[in-house]
Amino acid sequence: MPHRNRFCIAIISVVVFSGLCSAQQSTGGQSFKPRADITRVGNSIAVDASEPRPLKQAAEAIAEEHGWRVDYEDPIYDPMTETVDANDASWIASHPAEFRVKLPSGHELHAEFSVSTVENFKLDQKSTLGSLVYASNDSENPGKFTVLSEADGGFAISGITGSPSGPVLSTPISLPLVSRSLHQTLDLVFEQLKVKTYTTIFLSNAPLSLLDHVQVTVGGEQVPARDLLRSALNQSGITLYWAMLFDPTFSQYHFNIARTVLAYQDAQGNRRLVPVDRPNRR
Amino acid sequence: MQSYRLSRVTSIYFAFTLVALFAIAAPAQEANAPRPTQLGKHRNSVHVTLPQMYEHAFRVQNSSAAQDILQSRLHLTKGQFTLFKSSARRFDQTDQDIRSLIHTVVEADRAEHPTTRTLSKSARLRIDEMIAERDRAASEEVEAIHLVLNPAIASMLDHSVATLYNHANTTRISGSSPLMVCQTCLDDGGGGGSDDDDDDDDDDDDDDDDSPAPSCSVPSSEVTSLNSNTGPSVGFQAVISNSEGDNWTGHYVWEVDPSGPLTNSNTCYWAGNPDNMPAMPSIALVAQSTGQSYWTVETGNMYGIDFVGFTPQTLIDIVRLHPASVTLACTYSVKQEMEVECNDSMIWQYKLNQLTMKADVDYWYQACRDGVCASGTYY
Repeated sequence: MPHRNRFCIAIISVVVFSGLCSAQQSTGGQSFKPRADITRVGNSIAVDASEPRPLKQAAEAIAEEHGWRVDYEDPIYDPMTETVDANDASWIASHPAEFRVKLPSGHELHAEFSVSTVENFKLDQKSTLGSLVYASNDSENPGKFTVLSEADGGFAISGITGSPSGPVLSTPISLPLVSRSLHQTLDLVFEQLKVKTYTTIFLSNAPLSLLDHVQVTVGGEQVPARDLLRSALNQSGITLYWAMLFDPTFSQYHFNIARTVLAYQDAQGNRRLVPVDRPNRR
Repeated sequence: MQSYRLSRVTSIYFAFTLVALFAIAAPAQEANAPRPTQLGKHRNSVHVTLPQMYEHAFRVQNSSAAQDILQSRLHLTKGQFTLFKSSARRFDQTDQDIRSLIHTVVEADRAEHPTTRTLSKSARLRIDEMIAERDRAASEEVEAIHLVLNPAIASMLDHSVATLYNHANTTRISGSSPLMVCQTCLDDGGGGGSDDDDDDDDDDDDDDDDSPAPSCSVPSSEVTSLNSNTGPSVGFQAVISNSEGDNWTGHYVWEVDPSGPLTNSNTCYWAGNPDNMPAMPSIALVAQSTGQSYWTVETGNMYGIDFVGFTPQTLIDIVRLHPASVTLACTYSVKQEMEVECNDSMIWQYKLNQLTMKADVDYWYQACRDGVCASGTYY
C-alpha cells in the first residue's frame, strides 16, 4: 500500500478515536475535554484542546502521538486577571465560608498548521511546538509561552509571563558537583530557586521510589536550573519529562514528573499508551 | 518545609466499609491472627488496640449494606448479636459527631491559615483529643459487651473482631481473583487474544479456554501481600506459583494495560488539577508515576515492591484543592495486567490485578492491590 494511503487511514482513525474519547469534564461550571483532539487532513493538522491549561493539553497530545519528551513550565498566572474559581458561582453563593480554589482561566485552544510531509511533522519537533505556542499566545488564554531548546537537544514549553526575570527554571543557580539521590538533587534545586526567586516549588506527582534510589551527579556554577534538572532526570535511565504547574490558589509551583509515553492503536482500534523506553511491548 | 503528621488508621470511613464487606465474605481464618499495627503520631508502628478493632466492626455493622451478615462472621447467637448491634448503634452516634467535629476543626483551621498547606499544631492536638474520645467511647462499648457475655464467648468475639479487622486491612479479599487471561508471544506464535470474563473458578486450574498453551513454564497463581504502609503510598509484594512448583528467580515480571478497551476510572480528577492527574488512568500512566514497570523475581518466587497510592502532595491537593465537582471519598482505579518473561521469546500474561487508591476528608487514604488493602491518615 502506498505510504500516502496509510497516512489517510491513520488520519481517519485518529479523528474517530479522539471523538470517542472526548467525554466532557466539568470544572467551575465549564466543560473541558480529557484529551486534545488531533485532526489531520492532507497536509493540514489541527489540534483542539479544552482545558484550564489548553497549551499543555495540546502539547501533550502531540507529544504522545510521536513519543516526544516535552517539558512544560507554567507561567505565574496573575491572580486577578488570569485565574477563575474552580467552583461555579451558584456553589460559591451557597457555600460562602468554603475555601476558594482557583484555576488558570484558560479554556479552548485551536491550532492549525501545515506540513510538507508526514516525516517533517514527526521530525520537526521545535517547529510543531512553536506552532502550538504561537496559537496560544495569539489566543485569549492566560500566560505567554516560548519554546526553549534544552542542553541535551530536547525541548521545553515555558511560560514567560508573571515573573520579572523570565521563566523560573531559567534562573542560574550553583550546585556542588557531587553524587546525591535524585530526590535530594531536586530538593536542592528547589531550595536554590526559592532563595533566588522567592518562588515555592513542591515535588508533587512523581516516582518517589525511583527518585529516592537513583544516584545522580549534577552540579555547576551559575547554571540554569532547567539544565541541572534535565541532567539529573537523564541520569535516571528512564525517559522522564516534567510538568511544572502553577497553583494559583497558593501561588506556588507543583513539579510533576512522568514517564514519556507513545500512543498507538491496538488491533481493536483502542488507543493505548506505552512507555517510549519499551515500545516493543505493544 | 512541610510538616506532615500521621494519625490513626482507625479513621476508616464509608468508602472503606464497602471494601470491608468483601472481607466479610472471605473464609474465616481462625488461626491466631497477628496483632495488627498502625502508624502512630511519630510515624512509628504502634499496635492497634482491641477497642479500635471493634470500631471497625461497628462501622461495618452500621453500613447500610451490612444488614446482619456479621452475626455468622462473629459466631454470635441472635441474642448476643442484638447486644453487639446496640453497641454499634450507640458508637455510630459518637462516631458521626466526632467526624463532624473533626471536619469543623479542619475547615476552621483552613480559614484561619489560608496560605498554610498543613494543619496547625493546635488543630492537630484537638483532632487527637477527639480521636481519643472516640476510642474511649468504643472502649466503653467493649466493656459493656464483655460484662454481659460469658467470658469464653467474649474472648471468642474479640478474636473474631480482630480477624475481621485483619482481613479488611491486610489480607486478600476472595472473589477478586481473575483468570489467567491471554498470552502475547514476541515470536508471533499466536495468542494475543483476551478473555476477561470473570469466571469464578480458581485461577490455579489448568487452562480450559481456547488459548494456546505456553511453550515454557508460567505461573498460574499470584498472591499479593502487604509490605509496608508508610502512607499515603502503600508497598505490596507478590508471590507467583504453579502446581509444578516451578522457579522464576531472575525472570522479569512486567505490568501492562490489559487488552481491550480500558475500563479504568479516576473520580479524583478535575480539569486543571496542579498534580497532572490524568482523567483516564492507565497502567502506562501509573508506570509514569511509579517510574518503574517491571520487577525481577527473587528467591521464593517473590517480587516487589509494587507501590500503590497517591504521593503525599497529591493526597493533600485532592483533599484541599478539589472543586465541588469532585466528591470525596474519590477513587483512582486501574487494572494491572501482569506478565512474566518465561523465556527469551515469550511473554505470558498470567494475572489481572485491580489497583485502587482512595482519598477522603481529613487526609484519609487507602491503597489496594488485588483486594489487599491498607489505609491510614496523612497530615
